[in-house]
Amino acid sequence: MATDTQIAHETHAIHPDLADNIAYCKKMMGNSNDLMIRPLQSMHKWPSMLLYIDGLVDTQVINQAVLQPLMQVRNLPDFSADDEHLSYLQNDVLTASEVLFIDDMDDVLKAMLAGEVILLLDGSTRGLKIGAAGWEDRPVGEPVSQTVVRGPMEGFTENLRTNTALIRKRIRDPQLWIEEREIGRVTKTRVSIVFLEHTVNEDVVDELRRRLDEIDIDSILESGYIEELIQDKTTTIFPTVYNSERPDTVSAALLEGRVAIIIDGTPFVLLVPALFMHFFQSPEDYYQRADISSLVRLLRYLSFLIAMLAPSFYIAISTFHQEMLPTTLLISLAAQREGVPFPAFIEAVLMELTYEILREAGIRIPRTVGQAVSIVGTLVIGQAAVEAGVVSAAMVIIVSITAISSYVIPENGLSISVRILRFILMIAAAAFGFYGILIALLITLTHLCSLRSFGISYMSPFAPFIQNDLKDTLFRVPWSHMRTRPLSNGTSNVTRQKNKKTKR
Amino acid sequence: MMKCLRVMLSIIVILPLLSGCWDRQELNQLGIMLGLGIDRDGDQIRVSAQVVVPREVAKGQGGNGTPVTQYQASARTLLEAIQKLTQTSPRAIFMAHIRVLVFGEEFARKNGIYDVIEALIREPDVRPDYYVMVARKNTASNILNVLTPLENLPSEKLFNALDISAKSWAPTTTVTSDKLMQYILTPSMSPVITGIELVGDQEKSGETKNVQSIEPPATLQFAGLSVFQKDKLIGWLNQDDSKGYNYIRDNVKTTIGPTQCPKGGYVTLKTLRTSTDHKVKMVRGEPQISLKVNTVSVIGSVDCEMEIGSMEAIKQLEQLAQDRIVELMKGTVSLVRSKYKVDIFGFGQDIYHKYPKIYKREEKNWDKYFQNLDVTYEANVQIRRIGTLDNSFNKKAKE
Repeated sequence: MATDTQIAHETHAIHPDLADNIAYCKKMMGNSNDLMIRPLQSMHKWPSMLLYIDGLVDTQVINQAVLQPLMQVRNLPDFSADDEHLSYLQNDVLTASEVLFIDDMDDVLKAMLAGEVILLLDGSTRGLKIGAAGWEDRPVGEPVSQTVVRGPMEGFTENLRTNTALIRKRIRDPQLWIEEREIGRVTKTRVSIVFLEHTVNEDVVDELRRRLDEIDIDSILESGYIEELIQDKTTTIFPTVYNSERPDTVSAALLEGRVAIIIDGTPFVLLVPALFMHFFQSPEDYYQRADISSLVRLLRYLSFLIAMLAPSFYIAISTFHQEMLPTTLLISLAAQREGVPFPAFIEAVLMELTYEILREAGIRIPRTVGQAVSIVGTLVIGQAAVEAGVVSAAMVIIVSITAISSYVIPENGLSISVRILRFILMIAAAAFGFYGILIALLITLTHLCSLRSFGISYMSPFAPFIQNDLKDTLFRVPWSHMRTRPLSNGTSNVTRQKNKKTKR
Repeated sequence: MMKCLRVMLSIIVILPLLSGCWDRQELNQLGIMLGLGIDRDGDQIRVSAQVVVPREVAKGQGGNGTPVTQYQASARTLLEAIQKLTQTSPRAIFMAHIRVLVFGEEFARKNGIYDVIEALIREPDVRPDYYVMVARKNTASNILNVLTPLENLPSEKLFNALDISAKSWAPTTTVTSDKLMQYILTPSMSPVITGIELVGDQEKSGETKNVQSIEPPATLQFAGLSVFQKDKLIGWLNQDDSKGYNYIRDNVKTTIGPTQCPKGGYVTLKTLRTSTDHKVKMVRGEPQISLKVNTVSVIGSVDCEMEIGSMEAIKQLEQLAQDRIVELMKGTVSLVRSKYKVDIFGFGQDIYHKYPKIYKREEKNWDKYFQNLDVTYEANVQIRRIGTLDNSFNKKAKE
């Protein structure tokens, strides 16, 4: 926990003298201009101070729920002890929804930075923190990265509470538990673990809690930080943590017994455990009909293979195994390569590198010049290079097919692995032909089979072979046949729907 | 662990550089050979290789030269000659895409084809699915020296032409080199290879002028089947005999043939499917081969005055067709017996399958035994359809 690391730090108690407390705040925050101090006479009797940070609070709440009730005239009962003032204010006066006691100055600073308003009474060693958070947030809109044709168009936002609400809206079960913690010594980012108690694999939750507690870092700015810090320690290019921007994907995963990790400040929610087959599942598969979904899923697996293997196959066949091509294709390819100066491997690497450059540039190109540059890209690479005789036309075709196929994979993490693997396979193909590709693929396959994601085998249900789970991997069986949850997740609650035979 | 990783990485990085990627061949270092011709040159083998010029074949480029070029070399053995081709060829010859293998007639008669076939089958880079042909009255290099319209690459044209022809014209048949080797090595069996001849003006057959007129001066044509004894050529079969041979060997798929009408003229029958059964029976202690041909045909055209609208007429036509097929087969068998005296029909193999002991007894003198072998012929023709006209109107149309 982040608070453990503050052991050496002495906790500074709230001083009865208000001036002292204010001096302390000013010292810690260094005269920051957004620290607001509002002195007032609570109930027209007690000198007090309101402390908050401008921009993080909703001033309406302060005006209506804090200042207004504190400024009313009433008959006050007699108080004997000091604390009773604050209890009276908490119970009878303040109309804000969250009012809690607060005991030392560091908590005061922390609460202020979380958007809460602190009420300090002169002469009291405790204070009240009132929830009034109201900063500017992006409204719930369409998810940017994982779009579907049919299905809800809601995406997560950067606000933790909004995100948990989006999930709770969909799963109205009281057994949906949300555990929050703070990670990051300086950023103190709120991180929530969400799971369905009656379905989840307890081992995974315990392991996850353990790993999150072990994180000791100064900042968590995005879920990528958490992903790298909690993933299994094997060195691999394949992702073992799934991330998604869609509440429906996350809800479906929760219902299968997986655990979601929501991080404040980013709309990308992590899901563990993540298996190889999960990266080929898109939420749209479940909203469209089973037959087209199955075909599209098979297409995704095929595209994965094409994106990984197409350039290496071209290099291997045209350099080592020319006897495998039909004669007319061979003559046509030979004709294209007549004037080209580079060997097939150099050509392939050049084209692939160019494509990666174009892709990176495309992310950052301002929209205004985007059109012009994309035309340049197509013309220069496609037409001119071929006509100048720098590359052969077949290479351009291969690179385009590869590029398009790599976008068919729904989740981003796996397509990154494919990009890296493609280059390794190209080198293997250029050195040893099909034999090299085979060796590289064997190594990759063995490596994949040995991977684990939070204790679950990465390649299940392919290996170990769980026949029941195959109904949702290469294809998607219709909903009437989806009676069990995937056993690969290690869930205890396996039945999804009862075996009813209705006549229709 | 880190040290182990470092060592492994260094090895992995250095290893490919050391090995140099052996066996690499860029596409533009290959001389893709499509057709191979074998001829006799004194007591040496002369090899003619038809090699593709890819630039000429590509769309949009070339057009000034010929799409293929021919390199020749002579040496004592086949592989020596192929290597010697590099004397004139700028690239190493790549043999994996051979489409046709052509033997010159003289070579086939005097030297025998077996050594060449075996050398090519032993070569791991060469597939055995190319067709073998014999050049009739000509050398193989002349046959490979003809440019053809319609199909850019002459070897491709030969391959396709033989393929299609074997499926739709009874006197031709295909043989791939692995089958050929089987036939040569099977005892009591002799191979039969399609012959090909150059018709027309041989002088300028290899120039583009050959394809620049509607009727090319020189064309390639299939010319009957050649009969081999073991691996040497001994003679040719004419069109009818070739037809008979193909019927006996069950090589015919579809064909068209005329049947003579009883009153003169012809009725053309299109054969849709045909199959031949060989059966061996013991008759008076000696084996007897019985051949039965089952054919399904339709009537193509009626060029005589016969009324075909009745069942009797159809039955009559069927009978005539049956007689014709039996006649063809009988003619072929007797011709081969009298002139060539070798068993090209596989009767020895049939007897071996059914009565191995008798076969073993006669094995040594099979060709003599073959002369007196009893063969019965039977044909069964079914005419299923007569087209979309009933009786012919030619009586009204002709005077």
